[in-house]
Amino acid sequence: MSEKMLTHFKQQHIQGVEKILGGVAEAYDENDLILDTTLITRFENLDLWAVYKDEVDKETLRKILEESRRLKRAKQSQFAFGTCIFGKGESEAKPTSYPVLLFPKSFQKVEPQPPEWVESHDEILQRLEADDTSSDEYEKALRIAEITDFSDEKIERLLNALGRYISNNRFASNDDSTALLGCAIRKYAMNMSEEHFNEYAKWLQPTDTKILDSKVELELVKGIDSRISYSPVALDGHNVDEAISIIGEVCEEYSSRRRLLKENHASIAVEANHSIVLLRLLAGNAKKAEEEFARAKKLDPDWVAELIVEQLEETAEIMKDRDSGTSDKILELLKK
Amino acid sequence: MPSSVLSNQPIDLEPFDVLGSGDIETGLLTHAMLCRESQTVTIVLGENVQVIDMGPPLADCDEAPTVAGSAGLSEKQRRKIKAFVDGELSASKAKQELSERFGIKQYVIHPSSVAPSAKLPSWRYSCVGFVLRAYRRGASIQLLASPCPLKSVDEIQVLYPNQDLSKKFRRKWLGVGDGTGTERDGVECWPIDLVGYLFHSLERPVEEINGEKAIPYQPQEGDEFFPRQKPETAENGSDQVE
Repeated sequence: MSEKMLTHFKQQHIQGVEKILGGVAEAYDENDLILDTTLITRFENLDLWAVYKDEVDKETLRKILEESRRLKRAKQSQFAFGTCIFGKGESEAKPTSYPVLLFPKSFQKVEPQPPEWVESHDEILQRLEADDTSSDEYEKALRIAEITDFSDEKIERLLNALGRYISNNRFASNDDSTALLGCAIRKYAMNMSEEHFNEYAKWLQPTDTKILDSKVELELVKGIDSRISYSPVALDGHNVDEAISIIGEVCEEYSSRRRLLKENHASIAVEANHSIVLLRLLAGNAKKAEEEFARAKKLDPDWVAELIVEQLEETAEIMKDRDSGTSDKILELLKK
Repeated sequence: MPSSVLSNQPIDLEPFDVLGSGDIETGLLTHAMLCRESQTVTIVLGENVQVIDMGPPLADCDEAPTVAGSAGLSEKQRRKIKAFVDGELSASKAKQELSERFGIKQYVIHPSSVAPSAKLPSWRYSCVGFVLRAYRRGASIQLLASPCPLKSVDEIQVLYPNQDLSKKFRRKWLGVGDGTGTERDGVECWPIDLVGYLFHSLERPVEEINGEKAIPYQPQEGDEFFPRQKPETAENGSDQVE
């Protein structure tokens, strides 16, 4: 498309947008105007917009806006339509011109909305704590809880509720249940303090009659590994021997070629071996860490051992600013 | 195979090759994926292939790529990437539910990958970020050097068309919140990892991408297009393809 044609095309569309906005402004009090992406659902794409722009009447716009109000609670959803497509103005120099027809298709869809209580931490916790919460409400609360930033004073309540759920459901095996359990495990792990490490690790243990699904086992070892890799850890005064012992059992279990080549099993082995080496270092036992690392490096197939080494390299990099002492210890270990 | 724009000429794709899609006419790429086929497949433009991509959420699906690139992965590198992908997929079903039921998408644009935290306990990625980390963790390949060229919100909106940047809170969530960028000609900008950069990186000789002599590719203006477009200036006034 030539520059001249492109300019003409843009002008046509800007005029169309202005005309419609003008109509909306006449029909509605300006303060009441909620213009958001729903407006765009009337038009499949810009080509269609070009066809419709002279035909859309106020009544259609009124319906669109009513639908918009119903779907969007917030009034802050002003959508800078022209800016989004064309940049801030024709005169502004842009390093590269992008094709004008690449309009975000997802804007044409009406997005599902979170529940009303999404921002109330108390309401989320109440749903997780109450015995009479329906399974659907519980599921919603758990999913929302996973991505909610709870204040310090509410963390213990959250951990108690999640802990109860994990204890009661850790032997789940169907995909829906293990996915939901994963939400609880990830949130619990990243919010637990050092004193919870031993109790957390006990969830990895089988009973006399039941064994964990590999997806749950993966979430649990990933959970503790993420906690000690990406969040500050202070093990002074905390004995985490039980956690180390249980994770050590997992490492031992996932150490044969036959086992490691099964679905998810290499990932479990990598997370478990990485976390046990790191836990040993954080606990101040460099000698034991060295032993664990030497054992991990002998894993067969060797690519599993390589993944553990590479994950330790990444962790050293990530920890460099937060905990330079441990980061240096990892680097020392990697040289051996 | 260096990076190739798909056409009616068949090309071979290997497991975990990098795939992209976007505007065929201009070459502007807006989505990155990894080939999820278990063995070599031959395709032409318009044909679907199994991929794993950060939709969001991270998921296996069928897509028709418009461009493909290979780093000459070894069998072992492919197996390692698979182990990484399996680990990341473990949280994807929950994220899918969150996205479908509540419209909450755990996606990030800048930086292109963000480590777990107490608030958000899973890795978050852009489509590019997922490919970059899969290659780095699984194959020890660093495809891109930093810093990337700066982009404004308006430009990022076009380059990430499935993300709604019209709202302040969405921009903040996606890592391009007001006041967090760098000023360029009076406009706030960010060094964004873009899909096109991956294919310029993979366009190089394999030894520059994968192996002991490998060096990350330094993206430049116009690399969001594949093939590259020279930045538009007042003098040339129109798009030019190299």
